[in-house]
Amino acid sequence: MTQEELLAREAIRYTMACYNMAGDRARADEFVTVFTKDGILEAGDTQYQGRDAIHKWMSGWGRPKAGASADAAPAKRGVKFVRHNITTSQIDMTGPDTATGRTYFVVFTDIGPDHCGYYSDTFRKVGDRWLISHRKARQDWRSPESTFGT
Amino acid sequence: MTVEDLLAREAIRDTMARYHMAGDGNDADGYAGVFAEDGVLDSADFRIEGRAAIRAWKAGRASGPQPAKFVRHNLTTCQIDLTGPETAKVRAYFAVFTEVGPDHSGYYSDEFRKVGEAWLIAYRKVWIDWRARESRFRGPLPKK
Repeated sequence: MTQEELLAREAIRYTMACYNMAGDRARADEFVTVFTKDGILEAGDTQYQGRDAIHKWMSGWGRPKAGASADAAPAKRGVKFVRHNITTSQIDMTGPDTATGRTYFVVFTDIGPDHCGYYSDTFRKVGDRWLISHRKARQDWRSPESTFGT
Repeated sequence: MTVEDLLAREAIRDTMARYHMAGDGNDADGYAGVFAEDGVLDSADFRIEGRAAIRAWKAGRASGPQPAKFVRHNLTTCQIDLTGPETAKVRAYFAVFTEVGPDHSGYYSDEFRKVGEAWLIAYRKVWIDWRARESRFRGPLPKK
C-alpha cells in the first residue's frame, strides 16, 4: 500500500462517517455533500439520482407529519433517535480516482437493535474529497418491532 | 487531507480504542491516561474534571461490585474533524454488549487535544440513547 492509497482510504472512511452522522440527524444540506453531484443512492427498490433528489428524500425524514403511515421514515413516526453503526468495511482501490466499498451497518433506534444490512459503494475522487458516486443500501434483517418500513 | 492529518486521525482512533480496552478491563491508570491532565468526562449523571479525579473514580468502580460479567464497548461510526493543528472534534457511536447481549448504546461528543505525540481527550460527553430492559447498567436515560 502506498501513502497515496492510505490517504484515499482515510478520506473514504471520513465520507462514510459523515454520511451516517448527517443522515441520522436528518441534516439534508450536510448529507448531500458526501455524494458526487451525479451521485446515486439506492435503498430497497427506490433510487435517487443527483444531490437535489437525495436532498429531497433526506428532507422528508426531518419533517414529522401528523398521521404518518406505518412505513413512513422514523422521524415522521416520532422515533427519538436513529444511529447507523457502521462496522466491518472493505475498501478496494480500483484506480487513482475510483474505489469500491462494502460496509456493514447495524441500526439502533428507540427499540434497540432495529435492523441491519450493508452498503455496496463506489467512490470517486473530487478535489480533496472522496465522494460517494453510487451507494446501494441492502437490509439483511429487521426486528419485528422495527420502526423502519420495508 | 495531508499525511499530518492522517497521523493525527490515527492517533485519535488509538486513544479511543485505549479508552475502551482500559475501561472494559477496569484498568484505571490506562483509562485516566487517555485524558488530558485537565480533561473532563461529562454525562447526564455526573461530571468529573481532571485526570486524577477520573482515575480515582474509575479505580473506585473497578474495586466495587461489577454490574456485569463482561462489558464490551463496540465503537462504530466515528467522525473525526480536525479543527486546528492540535485540536479535533469527534462524534462516535458505541454499542455495549454484556451477558444479556446488546445492553445499551449511545454516542460520544468529544474534543481532542494534541499533547506531545499523543492526541488526548480534553472533553468527552457520553450520551446514552438506549438501554435493554434487562440491561446491567441501571439509571435514568438523559433527557434531550
